[in-house]
Amino acid sequence: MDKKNRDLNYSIYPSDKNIHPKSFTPDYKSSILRSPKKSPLSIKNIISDLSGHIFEKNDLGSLDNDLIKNYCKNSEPIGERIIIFGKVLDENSKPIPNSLIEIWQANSSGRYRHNGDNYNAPLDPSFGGWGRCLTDNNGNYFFKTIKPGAYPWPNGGNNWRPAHIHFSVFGLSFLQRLITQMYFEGDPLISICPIAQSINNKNALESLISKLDLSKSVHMDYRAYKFDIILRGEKSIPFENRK
Amino acid sequence: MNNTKILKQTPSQTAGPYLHIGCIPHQIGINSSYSKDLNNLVLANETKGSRIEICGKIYDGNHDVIKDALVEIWQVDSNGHYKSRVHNNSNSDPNFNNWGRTSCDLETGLWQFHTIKPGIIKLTTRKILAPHIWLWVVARGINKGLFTCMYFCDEKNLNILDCNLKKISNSTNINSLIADKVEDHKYRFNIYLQGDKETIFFDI
Ligand SMILES: [Fe+3]
Repeated sequence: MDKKNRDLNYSIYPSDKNIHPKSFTPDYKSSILRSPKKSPLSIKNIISDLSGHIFEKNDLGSLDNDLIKNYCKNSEPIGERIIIFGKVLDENSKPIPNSLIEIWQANSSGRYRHNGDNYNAPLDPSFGGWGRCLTDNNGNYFFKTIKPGAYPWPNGGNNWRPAHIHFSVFGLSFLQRLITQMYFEGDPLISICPIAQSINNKNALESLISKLDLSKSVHMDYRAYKFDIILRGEKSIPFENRK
Repeated sequence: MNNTKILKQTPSQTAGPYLHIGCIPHQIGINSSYSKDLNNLVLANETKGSRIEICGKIYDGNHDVIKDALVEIWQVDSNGHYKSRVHNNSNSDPNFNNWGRTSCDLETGLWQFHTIKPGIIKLTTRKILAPHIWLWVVARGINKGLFTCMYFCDEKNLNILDCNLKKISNSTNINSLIADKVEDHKYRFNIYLQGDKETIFFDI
């Protein structure tokens, strides 16, 4: 097979319908009017769609992944100091280097630094609530931050979001683009949150729950939570059959 | 590859209402610690191709404009090439980024990009893709980012030959993928999440 034809047969594993939430999940009220009624049409992707934007190290600042320091005024932000770390991999267990990860979160009392957030809990003058980094050559990333608080939200009832951090991940390809949320081990709000429960697959939801990992914690300073992110895998060999 | 462990994909979750602080803080006037937003569709003087503006609004099932969405685009340069980390492509325009993103205006809901008209993609001597721009939309209430694809109303002769449009030629609302021309060099591509005009979204 010549190179050109081989390239045309490159492709990426489909988005897994058993894992991702459906678009219409009425317990999460905002999805009712914002969910397409028709299923998305499948078209086989082609080489030209398997590429994605290239970010450079110097697009980022040196404190961008340190939420303790990156908005710090006179004193450091209030709250439980944590490290979030893990790997970005594809479905073939292949580490994905140089992937941009962006996170955003509420402060320790559950309030976002965003004009749309009217929750009574106070803003922390030293906490922005955003961070970003590129994965290293082995797909590793880490952030230093404050554990976010749970917060109430309008959904028709007495709804509280479990503590969570929003993650935006680029991978290597525009087709790997993912936005998700990371939760914390042991949080009783996860099992009653309509957004977390929009994922109708126990193992898939479990994969969003970070696990305490003291081996990566910093003595007398930070606890560490581990969260790996798995993106759609490239079929790197033409006609490869999936196991 | 026989020993490779197959892992399960990480599930998507809604971006929620506060995505701006994480993705495009400067654009909405947040005093961010970031030196700049990463929203890279910046045209240099040297960028090849004809300058166009694309814009649109996103509507929900009540026909209300969605104002809190984020839109990302992915397109080829004027010669039909993507830059790629996976596949070397030395033919691509070094002064073009392929990718851009913006949030909808928080008051009007309008999103817009200044970009260049994408070229034709030649897949083989007989197969082509007409000029098109991929869009990816996330927002509160959208559980998983939505992919759609914008074609141009003034490229009818090429649209007929487009491999992807051919595959879906039987679907209703195929016109939802064709952007209107508002004026010279300016195109409008509205997205309808539900209703009679529901936009075609893709599982690619
Ligand atoms: Fe949130």
